Amino acid sequence: MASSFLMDQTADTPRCIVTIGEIVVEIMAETQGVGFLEPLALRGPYPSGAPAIFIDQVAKLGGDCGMISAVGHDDFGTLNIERLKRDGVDVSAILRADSYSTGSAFVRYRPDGSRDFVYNIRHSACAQIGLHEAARTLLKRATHFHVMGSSLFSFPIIDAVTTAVHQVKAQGGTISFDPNIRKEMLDIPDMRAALELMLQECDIFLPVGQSCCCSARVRRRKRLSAKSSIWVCRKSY
Amino acid sequence: MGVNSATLKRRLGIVDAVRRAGFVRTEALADQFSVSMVTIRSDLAYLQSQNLVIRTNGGAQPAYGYAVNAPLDESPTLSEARALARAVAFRLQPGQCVFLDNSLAASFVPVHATVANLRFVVNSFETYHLASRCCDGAVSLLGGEYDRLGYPLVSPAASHALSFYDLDLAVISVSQISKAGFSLLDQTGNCLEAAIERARQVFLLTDRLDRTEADAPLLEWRNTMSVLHGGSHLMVRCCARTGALLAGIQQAPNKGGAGFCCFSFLI
Repeated sequence: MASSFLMDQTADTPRCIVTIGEIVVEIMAETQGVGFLEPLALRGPYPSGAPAIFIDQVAKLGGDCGMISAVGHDDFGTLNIERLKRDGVDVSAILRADSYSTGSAFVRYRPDGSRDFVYNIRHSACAQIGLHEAARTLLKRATHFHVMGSSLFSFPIIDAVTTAVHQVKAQGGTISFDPNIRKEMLDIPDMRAALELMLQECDIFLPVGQSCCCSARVRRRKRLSAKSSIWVCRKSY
Repeated sequence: MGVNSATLKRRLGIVDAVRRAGFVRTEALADQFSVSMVTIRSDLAYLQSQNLVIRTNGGAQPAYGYAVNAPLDESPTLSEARALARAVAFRLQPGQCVFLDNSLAASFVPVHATVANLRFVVNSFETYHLASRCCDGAVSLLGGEYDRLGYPLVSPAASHALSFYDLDLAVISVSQISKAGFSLLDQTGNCLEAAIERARQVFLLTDRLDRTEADAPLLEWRNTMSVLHGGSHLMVRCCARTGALLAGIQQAPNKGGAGFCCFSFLI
């Protein structure tokens, strides 16, 4: 992925990329098939969560970065935090939530390459994501904020993301948005509306595959002018 | 399924408005967002179901999980004061008579109080006006002598007026805490000591446990006292949206011979 948002900045410009969203463990079915309606051999846990993967890659590329999230007081949470910390992500804004388990995603590949998911996100530690003081401290030094559409799974989190977006823009920063839509997410209340809002707010738009088509329909219907100055359509994988 | 982006945007705006003001009337929100009162009530009902606001008679105030999404430009002093006020409000019981000093944290308690039939007893105009606008309970102004800004001067009249109230709770902010005692943050009026003396229970509010000031007059600990404190490292704990504000209880060392315990609540 090209760092197009860095085009107008010099090499000496201090940069800090921050994202917010779910941290989960991913547990994969070892065999291909459809769904989880039968006992399966499973492999994992693997540290995961779309925004966590994103920010981990930023760190591996040498970028100053941090993440706002929440995990449980469990091994799944420790696994994720240790991975991110090891790779250079600022994890100070990742809350360890009492009485909640770290989120999880069970995934199984179909023969055609598509995937079926069973998520535990909305009622996991992920539901505790918000702009606590550590998060606000991290946001104050953000020059770029990345929004992952999959993270917009509840109104309180949409509220936190929107507040963060406005804060970073007020600081002169930029916003990128990857819809990262999964079919299992389309029935989440407020998500469609939140995706539209983020499309209006972002400077860089990074749709993939079917989410690119969904976004194009949204733009035609809303007759949006190019609020998003850069579209980067990526191949699905 | 779900709402359109205009509705989502409006609800996000309502949360922000309530968060910034501390309390907003339904009519004001309807004017601000150019929608009907019915629409605003529906929005507030939804936001309450999401634990972001609490609907009170005629309006809304931020919910306990407020600190999670506090305005990013809010000063630490203001956000800490709100957190302390929420911690007190959470512990109020219906029908209590509560004395509030003139500190910022104590003055915010009525904004966050939701239990019924409270009576707040105050001794400044500013606290009186805020409490009158934000809560459904009774608010009593002690009276006595006041300066031009409406802050009370030391006078026996306020202490005498206090004797007419059967205080369940006194909410007092402190500037210094040590094993030897504590000193008052609010230096206006002399009825604070009288309120501490008369109340069945005293909440001492502080944002720091390690602040000390040389030569500050100290008041003695009593067995009616509890300390509510918050600091930057504790704000993370009070952000859990479960609503559990009590992160832990620490028992301070007993003062020799007095036979009392002072419990410290981490918010």
